[in-house]
Amino acid sequence: MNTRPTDHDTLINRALQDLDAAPPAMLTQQQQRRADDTLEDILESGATAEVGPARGATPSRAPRRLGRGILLVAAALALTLVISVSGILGGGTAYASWTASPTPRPTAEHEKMAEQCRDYLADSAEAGPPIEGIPTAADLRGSALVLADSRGDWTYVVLEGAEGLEATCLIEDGGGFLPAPFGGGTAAGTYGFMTDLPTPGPREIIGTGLMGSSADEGAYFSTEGYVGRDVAGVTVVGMDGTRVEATIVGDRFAAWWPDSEAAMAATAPSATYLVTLKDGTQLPPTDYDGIGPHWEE
Amino acid sequence: MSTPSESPAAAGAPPSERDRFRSVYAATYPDLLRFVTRRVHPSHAEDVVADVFLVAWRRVADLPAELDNQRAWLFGMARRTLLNQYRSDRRHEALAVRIAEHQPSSAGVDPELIAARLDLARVWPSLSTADQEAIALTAWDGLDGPAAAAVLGITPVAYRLRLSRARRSLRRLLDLPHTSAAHGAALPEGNPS
Repeated sequence: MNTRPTDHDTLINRALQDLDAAPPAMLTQQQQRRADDTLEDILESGATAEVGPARGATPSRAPRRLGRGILLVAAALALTLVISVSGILGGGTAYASWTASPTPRPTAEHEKMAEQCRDYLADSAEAGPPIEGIPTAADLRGSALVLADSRGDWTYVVLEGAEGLEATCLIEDGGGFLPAPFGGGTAAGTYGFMTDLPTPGPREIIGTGLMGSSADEGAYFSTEGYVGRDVAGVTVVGMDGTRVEATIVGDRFAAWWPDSEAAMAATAPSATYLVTLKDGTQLPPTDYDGIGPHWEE
Repeated sequence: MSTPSESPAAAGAPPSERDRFRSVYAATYPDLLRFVTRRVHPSHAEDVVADVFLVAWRRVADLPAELDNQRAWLFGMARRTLLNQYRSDRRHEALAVRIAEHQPSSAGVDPELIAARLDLARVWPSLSTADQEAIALTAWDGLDGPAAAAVLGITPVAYRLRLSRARRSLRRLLDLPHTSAAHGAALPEGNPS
């Protein structure tokens, strides 16, 4: 077989077009009738169109709360932003400096990373049209650092803001965000609203996120959440058996760890959480579902 | 005497907003229905589309001005509506995209294309949902890079990287030679500017 790659691509592109599950077609008469009926139902539904404010003005808070109901899942899954320059520059080292225990860093460094994370996510939020229930750039710029979990050259930053906003970034030392640096560095981030702020009991932890992400440096998993006042430590065990001592600051915990691209792509993320209380008691191991918030249906 | 549907006061919106919404609805309904049909069972698609347009009507003031941006805005809202249906499994990050269940007619078609169709149909379910989404947004939903990025809520740069990764995954599954960006032509690029 001597076909050039571009020929392969052309062939696959044509095959893709042929295998569209919903190819271009006019609506049938029945579909058109139902569409017309739906339009009239909407206009007569009593649902009131929001007339103004103009786009770009401060968004109304009322629909935001409605949106939070819609976006129960947002904090855990929405909006994964993966930015990488390391691959462009020749490939990464798969988080070679990563450590199972957090690496102490000066608070000022973490605050600087938090600022990078805020700026980057806010810029991302401004890149697209505003969408109900999705944090705006202003929401993100108003967020505050909750904790930073440094391991080797990489730091996982957790931010929080008004109305249950939670945002995270994974940032490399000396890196930054495209397009400015081109000197190395990978960053990835997520943001969304939580519907209910978790309130763990004294001997509980509650997870607000467990996610697999991918950058050219390699795949990684991250998790974060809340701890009760009697909790002394949280160890997270990844799917490949990696044990990670989580960072705890106040009533929050977070951890991240590298894993294979295949693990990230093949399955829903899972992890085991080992909780140690201040009196030395170790709670039974539990998975993420065991510590997840109790979403209202 | 006007009917309730013709009465701006009844809906709380000036006539211009109602007319604008009707216009956007007519222009985007077929594409939105196709977008949703690729991601849910067809019997469910019209209900999802109705939900999306109901929210769009509430937010008619936020509707972008250009048709392409309107489509992206509505597609993004539909995607989030569908993701919300996975609330019992909050770890979903992306929506699976269906591929045609039946092969189109092969009469008079290049045998290589027929083979490519079969290969594609075979490996498509093995692609991650994120990879399926990235490819489908340009190949089937007809969006350019910035619009696809808006649907996913990410930057155009992030979408370009995600699409590149999806293409690599598809090539790997199809056991095709790797094509680097430097070689130019590649699997569906759309217009990821």
